[in-house]
Amino acid sequence: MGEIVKPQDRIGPFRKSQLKFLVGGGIIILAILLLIANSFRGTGAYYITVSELNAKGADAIGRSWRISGPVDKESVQYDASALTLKFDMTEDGHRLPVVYHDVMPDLLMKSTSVIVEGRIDQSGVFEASSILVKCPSKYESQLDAGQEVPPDHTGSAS
Amino acid sequence: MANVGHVALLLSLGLAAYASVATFLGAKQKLPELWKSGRHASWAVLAMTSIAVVALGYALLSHDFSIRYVAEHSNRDMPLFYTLTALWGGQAGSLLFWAWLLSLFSAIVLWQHRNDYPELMPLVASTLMAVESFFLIVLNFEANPFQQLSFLPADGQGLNPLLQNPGMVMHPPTLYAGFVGFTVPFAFAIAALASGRVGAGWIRLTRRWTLIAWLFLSLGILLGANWAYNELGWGGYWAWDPVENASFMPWLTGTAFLHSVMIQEHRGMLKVWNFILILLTFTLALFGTFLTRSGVIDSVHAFATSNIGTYFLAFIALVLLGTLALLYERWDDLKSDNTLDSMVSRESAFLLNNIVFVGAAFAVFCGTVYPVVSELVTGSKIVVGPPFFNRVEGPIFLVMVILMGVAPLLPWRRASREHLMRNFLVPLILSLVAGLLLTLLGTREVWAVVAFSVTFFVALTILIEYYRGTRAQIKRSGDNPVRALYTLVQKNRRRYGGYVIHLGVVLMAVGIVGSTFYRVESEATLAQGESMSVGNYLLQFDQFASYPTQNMQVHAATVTIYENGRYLGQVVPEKNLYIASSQPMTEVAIRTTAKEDLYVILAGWSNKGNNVTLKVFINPLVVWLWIGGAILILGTLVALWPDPREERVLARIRSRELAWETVR
Repeated sequence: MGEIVKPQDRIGPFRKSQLKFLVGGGIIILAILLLIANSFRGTGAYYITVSELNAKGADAIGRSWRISGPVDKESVQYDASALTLKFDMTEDGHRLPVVYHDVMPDLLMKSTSVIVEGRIDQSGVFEASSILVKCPSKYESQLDAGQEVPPDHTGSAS
Repeated sequence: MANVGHVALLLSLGLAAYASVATFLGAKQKLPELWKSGRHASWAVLAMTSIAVVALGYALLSHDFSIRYVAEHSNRDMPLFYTLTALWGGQAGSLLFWAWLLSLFSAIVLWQHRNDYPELMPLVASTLMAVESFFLIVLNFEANPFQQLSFLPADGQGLNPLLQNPGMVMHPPTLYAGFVGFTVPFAFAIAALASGRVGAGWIRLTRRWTLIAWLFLSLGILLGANWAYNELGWGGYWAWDPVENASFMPWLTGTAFLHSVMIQEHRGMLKVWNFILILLTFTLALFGTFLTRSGVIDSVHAFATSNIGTYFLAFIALVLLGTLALLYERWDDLKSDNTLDSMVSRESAFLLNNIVFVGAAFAVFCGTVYPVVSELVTGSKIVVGPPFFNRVEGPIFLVMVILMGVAPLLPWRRASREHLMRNFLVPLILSLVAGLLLTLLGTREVWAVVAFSVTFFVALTILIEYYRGTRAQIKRSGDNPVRALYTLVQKNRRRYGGYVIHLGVVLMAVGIVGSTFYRVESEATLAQGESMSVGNYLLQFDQFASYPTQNMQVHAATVTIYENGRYLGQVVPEKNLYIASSQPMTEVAIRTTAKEDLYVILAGWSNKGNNVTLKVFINPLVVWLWIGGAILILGTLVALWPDPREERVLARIRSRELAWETVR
């Protein structure tokens, strides 16, 4: 505890001998921060609603989006042999046709809303790479409204 | 029953608040009677919360649907076992379970040390009971499990079929036990700061609690991953979902804490940092609850949103500010006893380990709260998914694994060149050879080669450590190798248990690398008798069956599997429709070998089952993730087992404490 440090061994509040550790630690922290920042740039997707997406029109084409909104249950078509799921998301009169080439999530028909992630193509169809199904929440739904709320993991992701 | 529960919860709150204040005053005014009275009150809290738990359990079993919680989380058709586990199936119940666990842990701690450390223990009790009071406030005023409905429903809503699975039943309570467990070291930390006894005593006293908490947290995370893999049917085990992240962040900081305390014990350094780590771990456990319950972040875990998020946020802020203020107060007492000597030493390896673990937690944190922050800052909500986390955490995990191989072999203070050569030359050369072999055998992914070589290197260093230790023991005692190994571990459980944990992590890393880099995915629609090939496998669709059982309609495809033309057997993937909830549920068929898992999903059928669509994954090496996980748990148990050497150290602290008391 008690060794005495001469003033010339100090740089600011730190001892000279400890400087290399500060620099080394700083470099590693910086590297992690850069890694985080850099990864954000490549992987982020804007999270908007169906109407907001429609408002963007042609600007929306080709970028990554994450869209939330309710599913029009009438529109759901699942072709199991081609593994193609098609449905429309609706919100305030806005419609977004979605196509998803994978197994239909078990809970889709029970969902209050879904979150799809993917890109929109030239014809205005949303190519979903993943679907996240949200189920009715027990505090929002009336008790007799049906489905109980899963208190844990519900939908299938990716 | 509802009334019994209401009363029990109110009394619990009153008692916990009293215990917190009384023990605090007892410490402040040096009044042993108050400390004793507060201690007794905290035992009474356990009695009261136990009554509340029993009352809720009884209400569930007796189908008392006038209680909202019972009506929402159970029904008459549910098997007894799942009815009982509905106790922690919902929000209010899980909070009650949490409060009960905390009162149980508190009671044990206060019983263990009822006669020791009169300076420290009242403050520990006060902190524990303050946290307990917080949970009881939420339970009484915001999420009361005994809230009654204005009408009596004929039946309840039941539990989601997805959750009626043994793995899922154990997952939440193990996680809670982990979260709650970290409250104990946190309370000791606060007591140490408040009393000014900031040496390594609080760390030594709580080492076992910290390990228990860590054990439960690890187990909870593993169970969750295993359940996702076996039940959710998307072929993976970890999706970087906010709720998964919520349990992973305290695990990361808790792991950093477990390592970091060793530096303080051995070298009297990093005192402030250890306080901060336990503070982070505890608040991240609270933050996890806030995240899932407040609804600020979307998750596949569709929890009910409610006001309790606000309560949690306020409490987290209070805890953070309070602890930081205490730290500031004690700043002068927290100077290091030593300084770092060399870049190549165990201290600096531990330091690096700390930075990397906290950095990993920070990265998870950033990704998890990014939607909220980006909306606040830029006005548009930006989300990141698994690609972000994989990209950030991949390299960080690689560094962690390398450190795991290097750090335990480095000496304290300073490593000499000879020491480095002796310990690392052989493993280094062998793992380079292994990497080269992998490349020659056709592995093309650079990162996979690097990752496999690194895991090989780490496994080697650990095995060499065991070998050396055993050999030395044989020389010393002349025992046979098995006995010598046993004695070796016995004599230093903490160290060799730690190595077992490291070995478990290495195997898990192998599983994760294999299944991430070499996953094969394929799908096909087959008519009866047709087959598809995936990797070396040939899957032939034999027949489709559809039949009702008691509560569901089963749709099952029988698929025969051949590997390189050799008959392996049949698997039966199913998609079942639960009649009551008209909810379909996928039952995956998994064929596991040491080399890979064949994961078959029945995606759909047409033409009355004459055609089925199969989705097939080959997930290489996944089984090693589970085996490694089991070894990790085993190693933790080894490290946890009472160690006579440690008992002696504790006894010494105790006697020093008593001596200190008499001197005063």
